[in-house]
Amino acid sequence: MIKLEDRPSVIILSIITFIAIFYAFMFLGDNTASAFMERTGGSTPNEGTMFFMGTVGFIYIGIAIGNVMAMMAPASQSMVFFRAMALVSFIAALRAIGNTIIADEILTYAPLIATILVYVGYAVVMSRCKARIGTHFGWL
Amino acid sequence: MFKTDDRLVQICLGICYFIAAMYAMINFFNPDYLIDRYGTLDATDTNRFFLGWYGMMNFGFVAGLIYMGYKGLDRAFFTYAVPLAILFLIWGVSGQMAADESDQNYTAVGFFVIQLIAIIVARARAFGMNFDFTKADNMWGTSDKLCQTILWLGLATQAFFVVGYFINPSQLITDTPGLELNEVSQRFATGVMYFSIAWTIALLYQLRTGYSMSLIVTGLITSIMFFAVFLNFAAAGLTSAGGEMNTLLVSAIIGNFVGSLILFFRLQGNH
Repeated sequence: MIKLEDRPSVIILSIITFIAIFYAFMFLGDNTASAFMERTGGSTPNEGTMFFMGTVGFIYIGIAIGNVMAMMAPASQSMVFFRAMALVSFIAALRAIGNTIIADEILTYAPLIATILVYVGYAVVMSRCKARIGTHFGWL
Repeated sequence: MFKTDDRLVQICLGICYFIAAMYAMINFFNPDYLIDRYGTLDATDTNRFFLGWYGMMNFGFVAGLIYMGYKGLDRAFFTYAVPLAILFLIWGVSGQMAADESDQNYTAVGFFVIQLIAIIVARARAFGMNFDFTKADNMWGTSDKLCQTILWLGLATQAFFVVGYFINPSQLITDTPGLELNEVSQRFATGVMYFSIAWTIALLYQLRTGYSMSLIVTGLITSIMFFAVFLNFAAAGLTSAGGEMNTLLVSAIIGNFVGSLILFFRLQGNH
């Protein structure tokens, strides 16, 4: 059933998929979304913020499904997906670092660490599946 | 689709997919939509909790249907789907009959009837009316001892929940912090027990005829969703009240998640 040839990549993608599902549900629930905002240094979200957090939650679900699709196809068919997701997660990691720096009070660094790990994960998958263009960071 | 040329089977399972997916999305993502439309449902966290639970079970059902869509029809899936459809029709009708006439809403019951007819027609057209219980070469259809053990544990857990319900029907509600015991929540708990009956039947069938990958996928998706929601509740500090939590439910969620993952990754290579 799983067609992706590289086992470490399957493990990494499985973990990223679970992280995506976890964050999707967190952003989709009002109570959990409020808790997330408060603990990461943001203000208590209003109805409009909740709506947009929910939208981000659905995007996370899309990413999780995309990962599952990538695991069920040979690496050669998922190259562009890996490249795109490595870029998206890199931008997300930069934003998370920036937001952490400017936050007044932070109760947990878990989202920041998770975002960085997701980027590293996608970068490793991209390299292991030979989807990397050029040789930058080839040691990954 | 479903590795069959029979259009009727495809249409019937398409209808099942539509109904299950619709209720999965409404229950899980927008329970207030149902709460607004049913006079018996108040906007309480207890009702949202159970509607979310049903939504996750429906997502698992949808995943199993999608798996069958790609890999072909599977008898074992129907041993789960048919009892479930029958039990939920009973559940829906008894629930509405117990409500005041002004609060009655038979929309869901109508969908349950369509679902039951569609699933039975698909089963009858695909496999005829014969019931095949051919014994597999090994117990659970695999020689993998770890998988066999996990499947035994799954069967024991589901059977344990069903027996536990009949000993104390309100235990799930009273043991879970934040849930309120009332007539409606008790009816939801009965529905949860119906899911366990359907799983027990499906697992007994697999014990004899061999495991079914479509049901493993069904269980996997359900257990991943339950575990992710549990972690979310834990992160938001919602799993316990006054230091108390439903340890049995938490153990079942974690055990289900780990067991399903092991089953899927150890058995998927054969499919």
